[in-house]
Amino acid sequence: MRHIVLLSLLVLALLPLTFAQNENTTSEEETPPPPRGSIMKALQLPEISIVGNIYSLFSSNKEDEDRNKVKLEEVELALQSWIYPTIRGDVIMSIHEHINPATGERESHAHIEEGYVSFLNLGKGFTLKAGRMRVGLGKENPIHPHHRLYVDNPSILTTLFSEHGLISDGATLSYLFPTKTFTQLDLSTWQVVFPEAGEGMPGLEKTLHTARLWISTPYKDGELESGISGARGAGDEPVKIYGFDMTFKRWPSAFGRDLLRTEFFKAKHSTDKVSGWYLLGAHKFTKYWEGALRLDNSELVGGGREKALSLIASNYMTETSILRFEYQYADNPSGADNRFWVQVIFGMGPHAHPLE
Amino acid sequence: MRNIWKVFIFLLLLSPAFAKIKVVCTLPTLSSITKEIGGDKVEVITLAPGDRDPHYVEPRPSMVVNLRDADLLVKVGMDLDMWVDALVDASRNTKIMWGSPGYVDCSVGIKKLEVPKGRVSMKEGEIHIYGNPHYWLSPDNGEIIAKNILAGLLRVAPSGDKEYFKKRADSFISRLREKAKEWKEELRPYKGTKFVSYHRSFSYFAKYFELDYFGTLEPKPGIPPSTAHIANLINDMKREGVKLILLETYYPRKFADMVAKETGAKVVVVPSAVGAMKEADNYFSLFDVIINRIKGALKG
Repeated sequence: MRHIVLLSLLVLALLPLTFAQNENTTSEEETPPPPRGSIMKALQLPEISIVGNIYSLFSSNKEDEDRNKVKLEEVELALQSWIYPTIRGDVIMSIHEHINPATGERESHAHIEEGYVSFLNLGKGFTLKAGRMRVGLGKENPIHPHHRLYVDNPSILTTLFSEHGLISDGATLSYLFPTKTFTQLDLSTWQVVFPEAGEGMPGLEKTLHTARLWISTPYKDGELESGISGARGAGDEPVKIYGFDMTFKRWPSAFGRDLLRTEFFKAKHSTDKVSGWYLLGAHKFTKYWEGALRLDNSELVGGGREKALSLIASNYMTETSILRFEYQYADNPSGADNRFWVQVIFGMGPHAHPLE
Repeated sequence: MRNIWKVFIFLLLLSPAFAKIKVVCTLPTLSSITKEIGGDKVEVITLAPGDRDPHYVEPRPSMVVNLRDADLLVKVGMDLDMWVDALVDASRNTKIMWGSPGYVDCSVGIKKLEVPKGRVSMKEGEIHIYGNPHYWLSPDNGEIIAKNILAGLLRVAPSGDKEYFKKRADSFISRLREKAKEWKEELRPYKGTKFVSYHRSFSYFAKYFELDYFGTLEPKPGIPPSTAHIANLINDMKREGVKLILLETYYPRKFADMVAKETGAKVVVVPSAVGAMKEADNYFSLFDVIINRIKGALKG
């Protein structure tokens, strides 16, 4: 009897090994490689990638603490994988410097920039994302800094959402309309994580509800996208933000791309009222070089206005590594300022973001 | 009145039987083969035009609408068209997600070339970890692509259409085999001819037609030509007597011309995919154009 029990235990112990061996013998010919291929062998590891962002700022403003220094702006560590046939998990950690609003000192921070699960098919055109995300308010805020076409953020985005953007814990229910034109409505509810209290627009540190309608249609040989966004804070003195964005892109040659984008925001709180816009134009000359021009015009929290003109040149060394130069003339209440950045963005490993 | 309703309901019930299978292909080469097999029972939409570098296609929201309504997604795989993955996620269409019946990765079954071994990094340039993905430039592989597409169509098609697809696939494969013999015969006099190209797009083509792939203008995949690399390449080409430069339609001509001037080689602009040139508007004419242009250059 004891032998039978021992034999049964042995068989049970060997069962997983048997299945594992069967899996290992599945030939590559029979199974297509997974999408966003990074996993060569049958390892249950997520896709791991790192994106670094280094820049050096030269500025005529002698009070600028970052002036004439080489600075590691941010390192992004991404772990991404499927967790169920129709559910993805994405964790993006960010290590960067941050001004502590309480002390005014620069401190190194490591925090979860994004960590969310995406339920990609709830049926009937719905999806749900839950966790921490860059808030889908406007066109640029959800885009990670290393995917943008410039070094610094447009003034209106920094004014409203601080240097690192509006990042919150919450959930987004998204609906893709069954129309021939791409039309998507995102409804979200959030607990704001960044900007921290004292940064950005007053009233953002509380519960926030946002909505964005995103429409996109082919136009001539390009694509015309537009979006309207709205946000409303909770509490006694809620902040209200309205936004409008429009992007036109065309691809006149194999590697060429023309882009024209504008975003307008208006925010209202009992203590402050801010509005502003930017206009971005970019032309990709070759596979490797892109030139861009940006105009900023934004009221500032606490009063005053910043106007800026930026000229940007980007060299795409590879798909994930970029060398960028940006010159900016900015005029704000503290005076006129000439700024020049040299930026290096470097990427390692397979890195993916949702459709932007 | 009641009869009209009956006819209406009857037609309504019949309509799915006449509905075409909606196939979304990432690139026109795959669309061409899909149309050969699917005939008038499929509606084929191509996401990226053929005159673009297939590695760098910018996903557009309007593509999501096509994928949302698709019954079948046909892709190259091997990380070439991985730009479609974010679009598939955004489409909410589980029928075409990886592992679903409507997902066709045409690289399944391809004998892959230049598969890197061991640890790889960007030191080797924008390398594809599954190997060189330009496999459609071999007629042998065209047959495998057709079989993969057929398998996908059979998974999603109503039973009445299956025989139709099988017959059309058989017909395509036998025509392709015939044409492949002719193409091979046409290039036989040039067997072993050494050539260079801008990017390593012609590995499968060179292997099938027994040409000697000497090198590329890019020092490494995706990395722009450097002065030192071009100088070395010129010396090597002179030493080995390499007289042919195949230039993909979307790459700049100046480096090829520079090398040609120094080596006396001929620059031949060729389509590396269907749609890259007007004349190369289907899978057969793609090979016709490449082979005629190579022959033209080597004859003269």
